[in-house]
Amino acid sequence: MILLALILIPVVAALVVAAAPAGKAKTIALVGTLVPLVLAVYAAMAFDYAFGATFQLGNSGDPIEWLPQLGLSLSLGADTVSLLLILLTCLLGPICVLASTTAITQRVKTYYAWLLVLQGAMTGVFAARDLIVFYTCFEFTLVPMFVLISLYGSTNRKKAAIKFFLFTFTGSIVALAGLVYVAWVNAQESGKWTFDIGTLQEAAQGLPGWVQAWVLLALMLGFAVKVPLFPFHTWLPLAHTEAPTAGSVILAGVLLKLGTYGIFRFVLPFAPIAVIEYAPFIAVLSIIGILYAGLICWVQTDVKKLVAYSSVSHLGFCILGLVALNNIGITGSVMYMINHGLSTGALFLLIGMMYERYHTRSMKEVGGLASKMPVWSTFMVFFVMASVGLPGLNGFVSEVMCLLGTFQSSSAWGSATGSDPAGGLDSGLWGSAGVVMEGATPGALGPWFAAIAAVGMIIAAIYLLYMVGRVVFGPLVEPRGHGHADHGGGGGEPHLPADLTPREIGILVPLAALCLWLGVYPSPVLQALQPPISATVKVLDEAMARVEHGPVSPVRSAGAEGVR
Amino acid sequence: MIGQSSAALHPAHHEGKFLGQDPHAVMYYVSAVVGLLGIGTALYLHYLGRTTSQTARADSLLASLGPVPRWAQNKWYVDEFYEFLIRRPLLVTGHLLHLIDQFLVDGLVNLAGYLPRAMGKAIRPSQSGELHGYAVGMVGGIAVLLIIVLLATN
Repeated sequence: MILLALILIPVVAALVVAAAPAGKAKTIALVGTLVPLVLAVYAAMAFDYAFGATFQLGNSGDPIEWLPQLGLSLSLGADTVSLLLILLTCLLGPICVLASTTAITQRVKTYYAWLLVLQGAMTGVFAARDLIVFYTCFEFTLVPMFVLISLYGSTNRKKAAIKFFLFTFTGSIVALAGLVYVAWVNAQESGKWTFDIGTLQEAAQGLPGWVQAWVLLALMLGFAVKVPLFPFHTWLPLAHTEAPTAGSVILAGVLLKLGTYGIFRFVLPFAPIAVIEYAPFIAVLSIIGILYAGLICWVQTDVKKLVAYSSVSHLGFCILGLVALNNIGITGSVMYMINHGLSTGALFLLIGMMYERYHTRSMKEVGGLASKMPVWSTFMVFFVMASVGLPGLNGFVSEVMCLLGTFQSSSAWGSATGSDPAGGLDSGLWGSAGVVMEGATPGALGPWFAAIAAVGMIIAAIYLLYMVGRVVFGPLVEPRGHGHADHGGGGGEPHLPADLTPREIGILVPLAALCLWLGVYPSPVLQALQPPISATVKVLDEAMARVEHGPVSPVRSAGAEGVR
Repeated sequence: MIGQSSAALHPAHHEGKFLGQDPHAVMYYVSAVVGLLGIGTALYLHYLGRTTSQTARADSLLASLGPVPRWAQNKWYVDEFYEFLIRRPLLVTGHLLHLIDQFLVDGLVNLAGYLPRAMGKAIRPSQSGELHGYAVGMVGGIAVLLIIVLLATN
């Protein structure tokens, strides 16, 4: 029941924060996030990786009944994909609390309470084995985020908060319709309501292709807004820019991953036939997003907005890896979820630290900070490199894997029989030299998709290095009237030195260490991810076999040339 | 089709001859000779017979070479080439896409958000709380229903 504790501890801490005096709020919040972090690390050690695809640490075998008449039960469990994302969530928790120390000085109780509730809800999304638990937590993340943006954001915060809420909420209502439809079909067939994800998964896989296409459309509408996939992304730059630092970190680090996690957990296994059919379409949207958002990044003057748009671009790679529908692509995508959370989360932290000192995010007003803030600049360059995808840092691993998966996902390459597509990292690509052809897996993406998407890596290098060039290097530019004399003088704000404090360095170092570790030696994580991803790929392969050899479903005949 | 078999993608490069020789060995010597020739030419033009630090044999060639020295001095205009052909078009595209994003893509989103509000505004006057209005509406509705029923039964 570790997972239940991971969800409940932050929520209980939130209640304590609400009851305790304001002066204690931060300490309680810190405890309320550090305990889950320790527990999550313990959970990761207690996890049985030999059965990585089995849902563990929860109560999957023995769900707590809520409303048996409706099949509602509290059922939790984590496979390695969930476990990794829970670890990320629990890691970012205390970091966000510590990052808010000087930034949030008013209404601290409300702030920390909602921050804690948010963490509980996010953990719940990843730990849920029941559709209703998943959906409740999924939607409930909106409420704390709405409060955080609308109360603690910058000038345009009200508009940003409302847009964020309405946009993502509208999308997820459609996703709910899709999920409930699957539950309804299952109830019709088995005569009993259940929302158990595993059961519904099997029921959904039996649906004919054209029904799966509708399920796919409904689910994708919900999750694509969350990710966000072009053209459903316009809430994100606004919300990211207006949110307080910790809000941006959580938004980029975890909330966007709710969408990609949803695609991994629901879209791929619930509608495999339809996914195979429409993967090229989704891939085209993600590639458009990669290039489109990348070029928009380049013309931004607001640093935070630049990083926000870069999330749109980066998450395009993440979706591309998922719809490559092969082992390496999906593994890369899950790695991307973690890596993007670490590096972009850190970038938002750094921009927040700059903002606290200069009260501006405009590259026209600040620049050349390397001479004033050498430590900050070092971290900035480091995390920009991680984000660019410099070999040796984490971004590279996942980006290359996503692209490689896309590259190989091509039936046009002929023999997919050379290796078992579900065979894991040990076979195919990694096995022996010169196996490029044998690595090809069934799919309709292929080298062109990968080549065009790879241009996005170059564009990422352009806009991120451009930003570093302006903000870190070059002649020192400081806002008018900025000097040490009036530094933090107004409004009773705590004094901040020119460069980073030990607290700030302390929250960046763990992220940097993880970026380095996942860049240099990611294989333990990659291996741990294999069981659940192999299981997903197996589902897709079976669906593909059914499409090719079994009765042709209506959806197939519509675009038979799409998947060969 | 990109390739039918792995042999097409990976031509066995150790097979084949170049003028009856191993092509690898030929390349060792050709590249070595070309390199040495280049070094020799540079030595002759720039170093040997140099009188002052400002003059060299190469200077006498300047006139006969036409625009080539100027291109060389401007690093063959590679930067300008990139600037004109790649950087500027991409930057302009970036600005364009940013405008499209703000006005078209986000505009559609805002329109979708505005429509329900506009509909609410349009309907709002009917919910005035005046019973007369409601009564008229009710009578009208009943009349419409009656007409439908009559038409359907006939």
